[in-house]
Amino acid sequence: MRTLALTLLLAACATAANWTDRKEYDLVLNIRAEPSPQKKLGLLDQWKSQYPTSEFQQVRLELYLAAYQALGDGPHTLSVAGEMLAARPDSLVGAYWFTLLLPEEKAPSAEQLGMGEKAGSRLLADPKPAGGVEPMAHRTLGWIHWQRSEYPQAEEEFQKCLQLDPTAAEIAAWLGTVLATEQQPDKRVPALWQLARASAYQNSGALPDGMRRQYDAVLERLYTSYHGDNGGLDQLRSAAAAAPFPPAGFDIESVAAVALRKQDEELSRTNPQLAAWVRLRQKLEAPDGDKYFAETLHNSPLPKLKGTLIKSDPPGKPNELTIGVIAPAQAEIVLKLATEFPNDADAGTVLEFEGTVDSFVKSPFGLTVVSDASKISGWPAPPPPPPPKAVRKSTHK
Amino acid sequence: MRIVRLTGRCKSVWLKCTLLFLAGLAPALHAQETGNRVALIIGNDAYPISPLKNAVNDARAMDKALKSAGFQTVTLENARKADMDRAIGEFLDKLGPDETALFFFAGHGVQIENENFLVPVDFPSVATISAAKFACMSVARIFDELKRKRAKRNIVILDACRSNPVAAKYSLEAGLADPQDAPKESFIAFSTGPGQTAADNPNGRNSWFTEALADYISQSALTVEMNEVFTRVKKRVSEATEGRQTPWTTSSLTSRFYFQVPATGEPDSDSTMAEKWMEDARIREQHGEWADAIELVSQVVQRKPGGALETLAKWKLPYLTARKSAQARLEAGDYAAAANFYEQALKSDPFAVDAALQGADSYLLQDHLPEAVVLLRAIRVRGTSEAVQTADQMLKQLAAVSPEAAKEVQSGAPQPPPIEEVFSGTHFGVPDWAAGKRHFEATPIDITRWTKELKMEVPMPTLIVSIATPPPAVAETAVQAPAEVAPADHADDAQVAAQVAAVNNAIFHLEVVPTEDTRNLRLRSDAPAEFGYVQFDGPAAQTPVLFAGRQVVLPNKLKLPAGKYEVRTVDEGKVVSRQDLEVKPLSTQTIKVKRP
Repeated sequence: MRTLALTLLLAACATAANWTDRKEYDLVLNIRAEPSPQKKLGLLDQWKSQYPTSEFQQVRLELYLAAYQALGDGPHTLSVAGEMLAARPDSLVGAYWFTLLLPEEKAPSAEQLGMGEKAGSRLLADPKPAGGVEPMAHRTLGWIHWQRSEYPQAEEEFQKCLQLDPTAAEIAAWLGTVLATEQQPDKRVPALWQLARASAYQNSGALPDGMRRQYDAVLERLYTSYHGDNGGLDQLRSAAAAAPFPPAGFDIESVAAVALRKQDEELSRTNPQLAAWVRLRQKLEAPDGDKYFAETLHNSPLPKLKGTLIKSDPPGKPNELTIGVIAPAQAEIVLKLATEFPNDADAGTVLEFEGTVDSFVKSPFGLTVVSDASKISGWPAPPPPPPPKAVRKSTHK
Repeated sequence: MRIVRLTGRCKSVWLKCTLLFLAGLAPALHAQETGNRVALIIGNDAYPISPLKNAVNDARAMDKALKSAGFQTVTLENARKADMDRAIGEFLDKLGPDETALFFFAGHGVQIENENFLVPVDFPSVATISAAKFACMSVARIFDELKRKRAKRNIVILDACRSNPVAAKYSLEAGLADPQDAPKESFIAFSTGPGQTAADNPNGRNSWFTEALADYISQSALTVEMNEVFTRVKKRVSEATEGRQTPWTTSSLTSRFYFQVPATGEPDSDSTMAEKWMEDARIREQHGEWADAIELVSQVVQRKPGGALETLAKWKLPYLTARKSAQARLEAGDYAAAANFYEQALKSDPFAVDAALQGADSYLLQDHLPEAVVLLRAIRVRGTSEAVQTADQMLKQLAAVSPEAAKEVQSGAPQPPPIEEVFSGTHFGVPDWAAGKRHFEATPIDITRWTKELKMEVPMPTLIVSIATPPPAVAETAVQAPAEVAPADHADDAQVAAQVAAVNNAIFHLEVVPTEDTRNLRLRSDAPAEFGYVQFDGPAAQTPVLFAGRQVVLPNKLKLPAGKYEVRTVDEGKVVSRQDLEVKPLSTQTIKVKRP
């Protein structure tokens, strides 16, 4: 029943290795025969203390590792795996156990993280990795990047892990946590999905109930903060329980989006003109606002709007009017008139206007619209001309 | 010339008994289900002084978990002394010799004169320690009653080691005392060690201890023995509390108990059990109890524990079978067949020195000296120093009649075999993929330290109508004074300013302005303000409202200090109407919102 790995290891280290004496051999025979891991550890300690420079130190480490592993003693198993890797960086056994157990280390040192990274990469470099090793290696590599606050790399490794093992609810939890930690708008919904997956998934690979409840509490807190309330959370749980990744185009409305939508609904009902202008302005102020302007709005007619005159130039016969639409004192639109008005209007005068969009500046926001006096209503009529002087009639009798 | 080593075996009574016990293990697992599982669960939060937050939740969690483990449960929440007395009486009435009794208490507990007491929620303010004892439920009394009932096993779990007012009042020692005089066949668990106090986990729904325990009990796939369940609980609690709290257990049970029994009635996924069987098999092997060793190892093989253990069991089985057959043939006087089986055993395990010696004996009994020498030579190579000495002595005696033996003696001491030969047939190290996977799945990592700080706050856009403001946590906006008006959200000043600017600039909004008299009154008065409410009503009730220069959230009412105010309706930057408003203490005024 000799394994290939063991054969290779023993062949490698036994070429020149010899027993120190027959007593060392006796001791190893006792270790071999001892089925109790606890007692085996005692015999191994005896071997180590009596033969500290034994030529079979790597084998001894493997025996230590097997005993600690049988006892479920993660910290000692990790420590021994680290010793194995320190002695032989290409040790598959050391790499495997170090990769498996490193994420259990609560305060890993930079050195441990570096060793874990090499160990994980060593496993992935194996031409024929055993089943389950690849996701495990990605799990640990992601965890290492996470500890180093290298979130995009962590995210990438966890994604790979989940693609290889979609049932790994623990990785969904980790990925969700990393995505949420990144605090980037486009990662909030994927983060919620993964946390929902961790808390709701109940088949093979699911987290224990207690842990699922913990993640569910985190999910509910974040979801409520993001969405404004917990409406739709149950649907999210159900959907995430059924699939490891959200479907294309999946979205959850943020509290800000909800607010804007409700504002739009309210404005559309009470002030459609203003609603249209707010929508237009939001599109222009979006990251791709310049593109939107160039492709859609430039040289197009502006729908009829109502705004407040802030200033008009030049005085007397103005042909350039600065208008606030949303707020009476906040300049948003400059109307350039082909023909000037014959008279001034007071600031604060409410005007209704239309025209053709000419140019756009994103910050500070400003839209220039070509219009004409005939397309503007609300402008005060020019003052009446002064009455003619009365002519005194002379009567000549 | 015959050289025969003694091969007789003596089976001690002790071994027989142990064997019977081991052989009966699996049936015992079935048998434990013949009796009922009965649980009394009490969770007390509502103490007048120092109330707890999680004890009732703990009781509910345990109720659910124990039901999933087949217990008939009775659960009391916030029990008074009389409730506890009555429930314990009813609980005891259900117990018989086949029953498994489980008593769980979450709440305040106290040790008085080295005796443990559980505190009911109606614990009165008494002057003396003696009176305090009578006001509490004595754990010793529960033990006495359990003894009297002689249930099959008693499990007492006390999550009652929190620091508490009773202990403080009488300057008593913290935590619970090491329980004395527990009934036979009992298992006792405390959420932390005797004399120590446990945390209530103020940020969680359950105590650390009960959360872990209920979780492990309710995992139907976790078919491990109760001790193993508590080992896991201890590990989890210790980790969660960073070593400040480690649950404590003591047991006098003589039978194994499984919260979750596998469908087969046998813990086939329990590697701990398989390891135990392997160790027992080794003891049987050392004493030549081949049939029993075979049975135990066969059980391991059948249960497929995976990993090194399964490999070891599969490897061991043919060796043991050969040894059993060899022993039978030897005792029957069929030395040729015995020798043949010993050779088979040696093929399975070349380091089985005693098989080699027995084989050599079998050959010698047939006067097959060359074959015996071959086996003795093998012992000289692979055996321990002691075995080598025995083989040397035998060879020296044989040398007179066997040239092969003489030659072997003359060849001197052989070197031990290389280490790879020693460990051939032993699947260690590896990587043991199966063991890794088991570990991986059984030990999910707690990342609470990362998740507890997670936030997902979405910056609010500057809105021009207030309906888009996120719903607030409270139903009304408290306004202590104009200068202390709560903003629309916990936004920073810049955000508040932006929102107010948006409202100010809104085409239509309301402003509530205290009259000069009211402002002056508030400034002068040191007395606590009296408050009244303003309800905004009408089709446009979602209109943004400014008060004291800030936007206020108005799902329902605006809470204002009593006094006189003016409500201004502003449209397109101009005040279009004004209403006088007098807010009287504890009254609600309604303002109709109308668009001009």
